[in-house]
Parts: sequence; C-alpha cells; structure tokens
Amino acid sequence: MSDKTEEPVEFTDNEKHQGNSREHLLVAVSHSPNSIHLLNRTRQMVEKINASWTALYVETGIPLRDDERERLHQNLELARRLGAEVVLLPAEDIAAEVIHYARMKNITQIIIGKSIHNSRIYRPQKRSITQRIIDESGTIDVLVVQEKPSSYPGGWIHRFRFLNFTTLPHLLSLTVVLAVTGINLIALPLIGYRSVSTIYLLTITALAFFLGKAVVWIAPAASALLWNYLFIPPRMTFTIGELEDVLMFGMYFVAASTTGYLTSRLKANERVLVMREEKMTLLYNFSQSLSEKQTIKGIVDTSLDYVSRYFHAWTVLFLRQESGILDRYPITIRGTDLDDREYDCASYCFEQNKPCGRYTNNVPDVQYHYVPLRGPGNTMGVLGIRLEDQRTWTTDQEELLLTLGRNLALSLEREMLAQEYRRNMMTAESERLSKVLLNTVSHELRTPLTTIKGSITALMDSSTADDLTTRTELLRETLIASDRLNSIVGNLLSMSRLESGVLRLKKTWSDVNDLVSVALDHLRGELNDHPVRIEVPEDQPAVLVDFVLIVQVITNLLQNAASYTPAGSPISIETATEERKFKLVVCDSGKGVSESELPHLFDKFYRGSNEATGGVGLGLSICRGIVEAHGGSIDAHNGREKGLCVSIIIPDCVDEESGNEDKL
Amino acid sequence: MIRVVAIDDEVQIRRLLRICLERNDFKVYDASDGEEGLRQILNVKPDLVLLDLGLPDMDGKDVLSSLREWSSIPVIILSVRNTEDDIVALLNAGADDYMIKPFNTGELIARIRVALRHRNPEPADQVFSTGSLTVDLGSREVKVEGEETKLTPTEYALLRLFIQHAGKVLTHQQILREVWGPNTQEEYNYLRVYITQLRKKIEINPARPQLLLTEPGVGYRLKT
Repeated sequence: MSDKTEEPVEFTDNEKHQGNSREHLLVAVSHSPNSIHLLNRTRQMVEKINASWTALYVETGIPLRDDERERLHQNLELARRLGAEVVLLPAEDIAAEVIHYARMKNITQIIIGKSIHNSRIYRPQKRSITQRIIDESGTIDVLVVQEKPSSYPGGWIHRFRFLNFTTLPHLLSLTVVLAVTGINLIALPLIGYRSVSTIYLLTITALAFFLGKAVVWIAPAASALLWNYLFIPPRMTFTIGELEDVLMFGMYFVAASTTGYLTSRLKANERVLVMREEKMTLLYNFSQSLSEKQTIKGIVDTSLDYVSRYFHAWTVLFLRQESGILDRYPITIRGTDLDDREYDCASYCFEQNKPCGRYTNNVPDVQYHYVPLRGPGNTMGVLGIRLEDQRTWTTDQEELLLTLGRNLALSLEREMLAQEYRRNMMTAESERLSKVLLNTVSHELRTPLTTIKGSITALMDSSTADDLTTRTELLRETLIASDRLNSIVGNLLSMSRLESGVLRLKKTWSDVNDLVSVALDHLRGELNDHPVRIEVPEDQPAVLVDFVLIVQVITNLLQNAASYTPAGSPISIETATEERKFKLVVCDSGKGVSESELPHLFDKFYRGSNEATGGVGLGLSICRGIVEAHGGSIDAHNGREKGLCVSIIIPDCVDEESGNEDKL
Repeated sequence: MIRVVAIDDEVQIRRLLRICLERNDFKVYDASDGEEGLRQILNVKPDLVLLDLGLPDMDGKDVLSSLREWSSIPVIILSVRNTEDDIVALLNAGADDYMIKPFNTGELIARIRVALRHRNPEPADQVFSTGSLTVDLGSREVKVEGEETKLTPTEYALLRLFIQHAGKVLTHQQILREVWGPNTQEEYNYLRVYITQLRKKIEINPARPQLLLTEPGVGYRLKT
C-alpha cells in the first residue's frame, strides 16, 4: 500500500524538477550560533518541497571579533555542506539588502531568525531587522524561525553586545575626548563654556569619521558628562544652574549623538562601497581577461597569475582529464614540490566537491588550501592556494576564491565544449569523407571490374571463340579496365600515404625531360587520342625533386586532361624556370571549369559537376599533396583561349650551377 | 627444358605464372613462402627464380641473400609499386631484374629471356644493334641511323656497360661503380648529366628517349 501512496509524491517531485516554477529559498545567516538552527530548519524545508536555496550573509563592514569570524566561517561552511549556494554581499543596511537580493533572484521565501544581529549598536528607535524584512518583503513569504532556546550560550551575550567596549576604538575615543577636555580647560577663559561644546562637537565628528560606529555612543556621552561636570556652571557638579544651559546640554547631547551616528554611517557606507567596488573590479577584470583567452592553457595561465597576484600566494591547478579523473600533474605558478598527500587532498576536494586542505577540517596539515572549480556541468578541476605569509584565511577570501573558481570553471567548460565541438565537426567531416570514399570507390572499382568480368565471360562463350575481331576488342577493353583499376588503387594508396604523413621525399636532381617522358610512357594507352605538345626549354635546368612523386603529379595532370576532354583535343605541357622556381603547366582544350568550381578542384573526392567519365576525384588532390610536400603550390585556372590549365610551382628546387651541364 | 621456381604467396598469381610460363615452354615449380621456395630451389636446381617481395614467412631480401650464399642463378623480383627502395636494395644485392605488379606477361617472358641470356653468355657479337643504334664493339664505332656519332671516352664506357647488360635494369649505384669506380656511388647528379648527354647523341628525340629508358626511382635500362 505504501507504494501506492508514494508514487504520486514522486511524480510531483519530478514535475517540480522539470518545471521552471521551482521554489527558491533564501536564508539570512550571520555569525550568530542561531544560524546553525536556521540552516538546519531551512534544509529540512528545502528537502520537503524540493527547492533550491541560497544562504545570504550581508557584510556590514563592521569588523568581527575572531570568535565571531570563526563562527561565521563555520555557519557558511555548514550552509555549503547542506547544499546551499552561499552568497556574501557587502551592504550597510541588512534588511534592505536581503529584500533587494530576494527580489533580484526571484526568491519565493525568506527565512530569518527572530534575533538576527548585525551590529553592536543598540537602536531602540528603529524597528528590528526582522521586523523590517517582514514589513518590506511585499509578495515574498517570510518565515521567522524561533531562536532555539538556551542551547547556545551566545544568546545573552548578543543582547548585551553594546556594553562590550573593551576594544581599542573606544579607549582611543575616550582618550581623545579627555585630551580635548584638557585643551578646553586651558582655553576656557578665552572662549567661554558654551563654545566648549562646539569644540566637543567637532571632535565627535572627527572621531566618528576616523573610528566609525565604535564612538557613536561613548564619545558623545562622555563629552556631555565632562562638559556638564567641568564647564557648565555650577562647575564640578552634575547639576545645571540655568534653564538655558539645561536646554543647551540636551541639544548638545542630541546633536553630538546624531552627528556621530551620521558621520560613522557615512564612513561605513563608504567602506562598503569601496569593498564592493574592489571586488567588482577584480571579478570584472578577471572574467574579462578569461573571456579573451581562446585556449585552455591561456585561461589557466591567466587565472593562476590573477589569483597568485591578488592573494599574494602560490597557486596550483589540477585539471579534470577527459577520463573524469583529476590530472596527477598540476599546472603551477611559482608552486613547487607537491607530494602525494597534496594530490590526495586535491583529489578529495575534487571528488567531494568541497574545499579541503589547509584552513579546513579536512587534512588541514597540507601546504595548500584546495577549492573545487565548480562549473555548470562538472567540477572542472581543483585550485590550490598557499598564502605567502601564512596569514589567516578569511571568509571573504574564501568566498572570493570560490567565485574566481566558478568563473574559471565556466571559462574552462566553455573552452572544452568549444574544443569538443571542433572535434565533433572534424569527426563529422571525416565520416562524410569516408562515406564519400566508400560510395565513390565501390562505384569506381566496380565499373572496371564489370568491364573485365563482362569481357571475359564473353570470351569464354563458345560463340565468340571464332570471331577474332570481337575477341581482340574484348581483350583490349579488359586491358584498359585493369589499367584503370590499377591506377585507382594506386591513387588511393598515394592518398593514404600522403594523409598519414608516412611520405618521405627522396629528392634527387632530375631531368625535366625525363620526368615528362616517363609520365608519358605511363599513359601510353590513354593518350593515344590526344596529341600532346611538350614545351620544355632547351636550357631547362635539372630540378631537385622526388622523381617518382613528381612523375605521378605529371601523370595525374595529363590523365585528368585526357579523360575530361573529348578525343582528339590537344593537351600541352610547358615548363619554365623563374628565380629558382620550377613551374610546370598542363593545359587541355576542353570546356574549362566554371569559376565557382575552380577552388574545389583539389578537394578530396571532388568531381566536376559535368563529369561523365569516371575517376575517384583523388588525382588532383594527390597532386596538391605531393606539390605541397615539396613546399610548392598548385593552382587551376581557365586558359586564355579555352580549356583548363593546372600549374604547379615548386620553389628552391632549381640550382643553376648543378643544372649546368657544360660544367662537366 | 628451362626450369623456373616461382615463389609467391598468392595462389592466383602462381597459377597465372604457371599458365603463362608453361605456354612458353618453361617448366614451373611453385612455392608459397620463402622456406618452401629455398627448398624447391635446392631440389629442382632451376635456371631462374621469380621472387615475390611480400612473403608471409620471410623478407624477399633474406630469401635472396641466403640463395646467393650458394647459388648465382638469375632472380627476378616481382613487386608492387612504391617499393622502389626495396627493389634497388635487392638489385644491388644481386637480383637480376624486377617486374612491377600488375605486369604484362609478354614483358615478363622477355625479362626472363634477357636474364637467362646474361647468365649463359653466347660468344659476344662484335656488333650490337638495337633500334636505330648500331655499335661496333671492336672498332668502337657508334652509328645512329647509319650516321656515325662521336662519343667521349666516359660516354662510350657508359654505353658499353648498357650494351653488356642490354635489356636489363641497372641501378644508379651499379652504373656509377662500374664506370666511375667505387668512390662515386652517391653522385646521382653526375650520372644524370652523362645520361642526358648520351641520349642527345644516340636518341633520335632525346626528350622522348626510346632506347635508354629511365626506370623511375631505380635506374636505367637499355631497350633491346
């Protein structure tokens, strides 16, 4: 029965997965121990409704104590472990930032703790952050989670946070106030006790500017009391004689507090802005320079350079290999000696997809701190960092590193996809070629085979036995067909040799007339119907080429000219030498080739559009392969009168001295 | 009757050789690999061997070298194209001639006869003649279409070497060694220049030689 009840639930789960209307929860965390409870509660909800979630911490720019920092770090780490996306945003107004972020990211529900703290400032006149979030959330649901009772000793400490002023800024501000009091006492006879208050006010403003919120309450209070006690008549008492002075005192206190508060807030805002801008600039520059890189190596080098310069650290990068395993050999900038322990830690980080090594709970005694490069698809690798001066590692730094890591992973994934795309294109192209090859070859091989088999079966027939003319005809056809078969096979072999790079040129000084005449001998039968005009200059010097291969080039060019032009049309072959370049042109007197087809003539398996005669479409591409192997070029153009001309130019193969026969 | 051992791993080629050779009154013994071929040669003591290069058990070159240890009978190599280097190596190692597959059987029979003639030289004729060329080896007189032509001593030495081996292929190396001595073996360019000059003197159209033929990648041959 339980199966039946479970099924529809699973169905809705799947539906939610696929749909766009998946819920997205936002939980506001702080350095408070209560956040742990908050995170666990959110996690439970998230599981129940199958939502995604983000843990947001708003940095107000107020420095945290070490223990607070440590707790914040733990809270954020917990959030990450529980599967939340962790976001740190610098802002002064927590409530506003939470709402702003929630709106921006289409958050459906905000989860906050009842006693969300952000500062040590007691603001009795203001609504609590919780209240403000509830008030300003608009259409977004807000869930306020009750603080877990008393299990954390932090509760009451937080309530009295504002009393805890043992830190340096407070002492400093008191000292300054006392010093100013001294000066005021000296100056009192000259300026009068009322002017003293303006000097105090000035001091408060300056203190608030330099020391921030720490002085907002203490300095105004202390200065007000001191002013009252030491300056306002009757002096040396806390009583105030005149009503006017009472008024002055009250106004002073309000003015001092307000000035202090506003100034410090201004200062804090400025800090937040500077922090935000620094981070933005870094991230912007980082992703900008990554997007400019077109190779994996470029991306990796740039990012390692960035990270090591920004953090003043040694960096290493382990990349994910195609097999899905982490590369054993890292790419480093100024990084050295990584032993197996480091690699094991990096592997752990890679597999578990979470930070590892130094500054974490996992293998903290290795040299490097490792963070995974989380891409949209896969974890692309692991980035390791080792601070030069072994400073402590802050949450901000961790967040920044993770963000940089995400950027890097994104770029890497983009580049790998691009590479894969190119590879797929190449595979598709080679598949196309092999298909063409198969089609053409099977057709082209079958044609002569059909001729051979047909002729021979006819010859074996007793009726042809006595007919001598028919016998001779059939035998001639068979011979031509077998020659053609041989030449097709030869071309295929040459092509594969050219493609596989096995081809090694055996250059010898070759007589040009010899090259041409050997080629003509090869084609004795096929050129019967075409008068060939040969124009090799009397003083044509010898050329340093691979004799056999260049003979094949000339043979193919002549064969091409003969088979694509009507019987009886002449073919010409000319050679020339210019500046140590050997040039050979073969022209036919056929119809020529349309301009649009000319560039494709040398492509593999390309056959002209109006071909009637057979051929695998390899002859010219073999020519190109051989000529290019000689460092030369091949080019086709329509002749001046008519017909197609193919010219080859081979540079640096003519040596006037060696070619000069009179020297011997 | 002249006995020929044909060594080829392809049964169809063996059958073809048998038909063609027996038709020309040769007695044919065939073998499908090097081992069997050498055994046949020992047993039959043939007048000539046809040797395929691509044998399943051993390299054609090994067959030739072990054969040459105890016999100097003519050997003709049967091979496919693009194995010029191997052919040159075998010719230099003592093979007499070569045929590229697929071959013309008429030409094969002619090559066999040339090879046999060179092994059993009849008393040499005073006068050699092929095509339009006539050479009187006694008086060193060279005539083309009846016209006397003057050759330099080197050209004459070259021509005489070709006449001695008329119809047979000579590798560049063999020619250089015979005419210029053993120290000039790599100077192909040297040879090429002399061949061109010789052709100008003995060929009717030096650009399309009909007598002194180029064997691409291997050497030269004087047509008979």
